[in-house]
This record gives sequence, structure tokens and C-alpha cells, in this order.
Amino acid sequence: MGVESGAAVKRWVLILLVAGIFVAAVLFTDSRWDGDVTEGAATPLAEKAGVEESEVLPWKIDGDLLLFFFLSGGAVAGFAAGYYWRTLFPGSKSRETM
Amino acid sequence: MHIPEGLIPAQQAAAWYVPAVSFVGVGLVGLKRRLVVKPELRPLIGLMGAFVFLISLIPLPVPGLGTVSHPCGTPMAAILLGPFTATVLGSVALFLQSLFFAHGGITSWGANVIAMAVGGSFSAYGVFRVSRRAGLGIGVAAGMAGLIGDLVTYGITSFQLALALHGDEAVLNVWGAAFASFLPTQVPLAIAEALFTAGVVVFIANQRAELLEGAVVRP
Repeated sequence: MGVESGAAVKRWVLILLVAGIFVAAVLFTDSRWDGDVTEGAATPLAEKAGVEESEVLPWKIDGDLLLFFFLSGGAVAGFAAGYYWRTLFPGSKSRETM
Repeated sequence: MHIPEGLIPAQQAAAWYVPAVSFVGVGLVGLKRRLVVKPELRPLIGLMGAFVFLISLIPLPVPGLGTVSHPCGTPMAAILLGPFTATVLGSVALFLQSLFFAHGGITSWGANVIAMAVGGSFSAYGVFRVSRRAGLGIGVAAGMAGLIGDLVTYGITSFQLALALHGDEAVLNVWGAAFASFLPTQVPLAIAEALFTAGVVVFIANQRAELLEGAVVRP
């Protein structure tokens, strides 16, 4: 019982820590994070060399379509990660019934 | 970051493809062989593939700087599955990201594979093995591998950018400047990658220690 409650406390401390970092990140920064680190490192070099980024495909994926791909990709990969995680680590209840 | 489409001249892009395809080819052959001998690795490979894809795509904000960047994920995959298999997983993630997520490019795929998949995997794997032989605990060794693997990735990316975009300046000077401009954003991300890598590896070592045998199996 003591071990279980200790693990639960640890889990909540971790969740609150991560949430706190992100809340602090939002509250204490003026910037909108509108640029990948590329903006600070690669773009100045490319501008100096007179080179511009180009599109990968003949058509452009941006706006809500890009959002759609990000959400779909994240959901599929998240589902796959969860599925395989559960296969590898079935959890105490499932292990007891095996 | 992944180098976007169009920033690397065609000849250099083609030149980066040669070692990238070689590493991926060796990795694929080894992976096929390993799955025949040890099919129970399949779920771990699936898990690591999903992790590498997600981790190297997610933009994490760095408080105070207003910039975002992403960890690599390949160091963790290299520790658990070996560097060649991690290279294959990283290369697949990079291909999908360049096609559907405006992240990276097709012509710059070879350069990105060398930086993130090969550089991140092999440096992390080397650091992990050396650290373990030096007697460090598994968590510390995995954390150091995550940290170094992340920074090596960005060191290689800086070099590739410098080589492509140095103009009249010396490549080494541009390399140094490019890497220095990555560091404020990337060092916190590398620390996060170290903590995450250490956490996952320690968890697996505690729950399913036999899975860590993958770290010492050759491709």
C-alpha cells in the first residue's frame, strides 16, 4: 500500500512539474514561438547565401491541411506507441490473468 | 531541426544520399535477419518507431527564448535496438515528416538521415557502451547518451548547413557560428532528451530487463 501511494505521489509530482514548466513557458515569454530553431540558425545563413527554402511537393501543404496532417500523424503514432507499450508492458492486472 | 528542402545544393544533397542509403541498407538487412532470429523484438521496434516519429516531430517551446525545437529519439532507439536499426527507424520518420509535415525535405533527406539517424544513433550508442564499461549506472549512461546524441545531431546539421551556405567565408567559421546559434535552444532540449532517454531505459531495465539485450546484439 505504501509503495503504491509513493508511486502515485511520484506520478503526480512529475505531471505537475511538466505542467508547471509549460504554464511558466506560456506566462513568462513575450514571444509566440512562431519560429522553429531554423529561424535563428539556418534562415540567416540561407538569406546571406541568397538561397530560399522550396516546397517538397508540387502542391503546398499548409494552414489547416498541415494541422490535419499533424493531428492525424500524432494520433496514429500515439495509438501505435500505446498499443506496443501495452504489448510489452501488460500491467499488473493483465499479468496476473496471464 | 531538419534541413528544409532547397537549402542544400543538388550535388551536396546527392553526396549525402550515398552514405545515408548505405547505412539504411545495412540496417534493413540486419533488421530482417534479427526479426527472423528474434521475432519477439517486433513490439519494441514498433514502439521505438512510433517514439522516434513523434519525438522528432513535436515542437517543444523553450521558456524565455521564444523558440521551439525538437529532440531526436534516435539515441533511445539506438540504446534499445542498436544503432543500425535506430538508423532505419529514423530514416522512415524523416521520410514521412518531409512528405506530409513540411518538416525536412526529400532532397535534404540524405543529409538529415546522416545527422539525426546515423549521427544521433551511433554517437549515443558509443557513449552508452563506453559509459557502461566505465562502470556508470544504466540511467546515467542512457542520459549521457541522450544528451550527446542530441548535440551531435545538431553539430552535424550545423556542419551540413555551413558546407552548403558558407559563401566566401571559411566553412569552419560558419560551422561554429551556426552551431553556437543552435545551442541556446538545443541545450535545454538535449537535457530533456537525456532525462527522457534515461527514464525510459531505466523503466525497461526494471520491468523487462531481457529487452535490453538488444543493446548488445549486432545488426
